[in-house]
Amino acid sequence: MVLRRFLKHRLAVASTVMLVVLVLGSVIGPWFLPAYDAQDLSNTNQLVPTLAHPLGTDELGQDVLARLLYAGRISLFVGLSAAVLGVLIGTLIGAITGYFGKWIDTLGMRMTDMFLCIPLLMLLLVLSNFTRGKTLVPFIAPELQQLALIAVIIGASSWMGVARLVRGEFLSLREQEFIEASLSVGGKSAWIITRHLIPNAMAPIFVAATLQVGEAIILESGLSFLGMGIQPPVPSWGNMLSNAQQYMIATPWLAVYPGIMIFLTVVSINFIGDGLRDALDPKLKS
Amino acid sequence: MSTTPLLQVRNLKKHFPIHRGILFKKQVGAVKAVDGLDFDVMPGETLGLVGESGCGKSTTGRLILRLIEATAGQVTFDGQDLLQLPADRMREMRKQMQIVFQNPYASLDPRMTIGDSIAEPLRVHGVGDEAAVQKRVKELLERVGLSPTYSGRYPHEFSGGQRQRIGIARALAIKPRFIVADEPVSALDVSVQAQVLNLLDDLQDEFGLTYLFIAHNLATVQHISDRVAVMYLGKMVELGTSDQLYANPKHPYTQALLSAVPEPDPTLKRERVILQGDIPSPVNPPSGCRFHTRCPVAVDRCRVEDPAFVDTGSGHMVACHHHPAVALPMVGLPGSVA
Ligand SMILES: Nc1ncnc2c1ncn2[C@@H]1O[C@H](COP(=O)(O)OP(=O)(O)OP(=O)(O)O)[C@@H](O)[C@H]1O
Ligand code: SF4
Ligand SMILES: [Mg+2]
Repeated sequence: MVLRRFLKHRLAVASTVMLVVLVLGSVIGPWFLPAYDAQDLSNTNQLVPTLAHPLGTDELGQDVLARLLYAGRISLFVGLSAAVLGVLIGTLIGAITGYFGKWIDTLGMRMTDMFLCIPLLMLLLVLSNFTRGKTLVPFIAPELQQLALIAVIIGASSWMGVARLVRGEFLSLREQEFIEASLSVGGKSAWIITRHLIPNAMAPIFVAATLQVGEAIILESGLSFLGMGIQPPVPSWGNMLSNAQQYMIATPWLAVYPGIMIFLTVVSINFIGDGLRDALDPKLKS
Repeated sequence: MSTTPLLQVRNLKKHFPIHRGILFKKQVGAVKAVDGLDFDVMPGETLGLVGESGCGKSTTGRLILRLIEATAGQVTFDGQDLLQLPADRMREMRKQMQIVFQNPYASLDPRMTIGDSIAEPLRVHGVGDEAAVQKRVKELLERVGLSPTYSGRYPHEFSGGQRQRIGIARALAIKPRFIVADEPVSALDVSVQAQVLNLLDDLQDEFGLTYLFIAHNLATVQHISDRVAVMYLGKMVELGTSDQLYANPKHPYTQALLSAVPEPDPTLKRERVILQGDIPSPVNPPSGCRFHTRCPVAVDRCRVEDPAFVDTGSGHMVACHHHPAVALPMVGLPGSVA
């Protein structure tokens, strides 16, 4: 039923196909490309596209297609994990405030407002710059730690919207009679939240999560573009864009590629989110 | 029937506060939904609770099961003061007291299969392993007249009558002793009302259940109830055995309600009493007797003095200044239409 309604949403279906291509391309694409050595700078710098380098090479002579796909892995990974984290935190806080209400709600919502007011992102980035290169967790590659840290930072500063959404859903759901019915058989708070409220609030949470992925990718790109996110040599769409900026006159296409990737990904995700919203909302007729 | 009540309700009150103001909430009044109830329910009996919409019947049911906290009063179940019990002890008590809700469409979780809904009380209390739970669900579905193969379906796949059967199966799951049936049939088609009533009746005999059976008209509870209580604006106005109440209604409000019930025997023609005016707001109930604004036999005293709820003989309780008959006999109700 839900699937049928989703399939009717043409744009959402096209976007799903597009996103699958982007994700598959990023995840398995690099395996099909000729291996290239990041240290090998013998290639001609800033080559125009050729058969060997379909998208040309950058200022260091690295293959742009390969970097673009690697960057896709990084950007998608960071975007996805940041969104998952943000949605988890938001759902938890929204669930608790919305379910318990009263002073817990007031406290939780004032806290959310506070987080919206303080530039958390900036504070956390300062912290991240401060810890760069230091080993935070042993046995994990520093690059991976850096990625995880960026994901955590983005996630930790973008849960507020979801918290408000989930709170609103819970506030209206908890007045429903089936919640009282669960209470009447002896259901405890944790039971009611996990068995009744979350399943019933799943549709809007899911839609919010989808949109959150898009936002996280934009945020990551923006941060990397400003040089505060993912640092070269690890590629991300954002830092590739930032790099290309210096050569705008000579090789403008270098800026176009990551720009297109970001645009396609985020637009696809947003259309999928719209499609899901329509498909999951039983009140909207197909 | 034994003589110790299973449930005792004393001076039970629920005032829902009304707040004004967005930033600084200030209480500006209260909805006096339930305003001082006293009654007992004997083990094995069905007590019918009747009254117009909004008179506080559901609120009474919820208060007894402690689904909302009372403003004042006492509810004693099987010797235990329910309203004082700590949360964990109250949860234990819920195994013994269940509710069948008024609205079979809203009281089942739309995202939960009906099998899981029926199993919920068992799982919440950790009764039996998964195999035993599944077996019990099948058994219950069969007992309420539904196919056990339905357990994987969702509520929207069922009709109102079927859903109410599911609600009944769920209420029975942990073998309670007492069930509040809150207008279990009023949302159903007339054709299925009788079936569900019969089912409840059979289950009572089979499992020795005690019912508080809520309804908004006297006709529904007449056959199923041993005793009937009539409520008006949060208070009880009359309480008696079904026979006492139907044969000899003493409160003018009960008389009015009864006159609206179609009489199958044409030789027993009742006078038809039409109540004037609307039911007053429970926020500002009328002074004295709450019924005086609509009462066809009201006297001056009614406007100032609230009549006590007294036994007029053999447990037939009435709250009216005419009873015990002091001065005015019940003749020629003014405002009544033959
Ligand atoms: N949570 C609440 N907050 C404020 N007022 C309430 C609340 N619940 C009930 N009321 C009010 O209390 C009064 C009694 O309501 P209740 O639901 O008990 O009536 P009822 O007798 O069950 O009526 P019905 O036959 O329509 O079910 C009504 O005036 C109602 O508006
Ligand atoms: S006390 Fe007065 S107003 Fe109330 S029911 Fe009796 S006669 Fe009517
Ligand atoms: Mg009701």
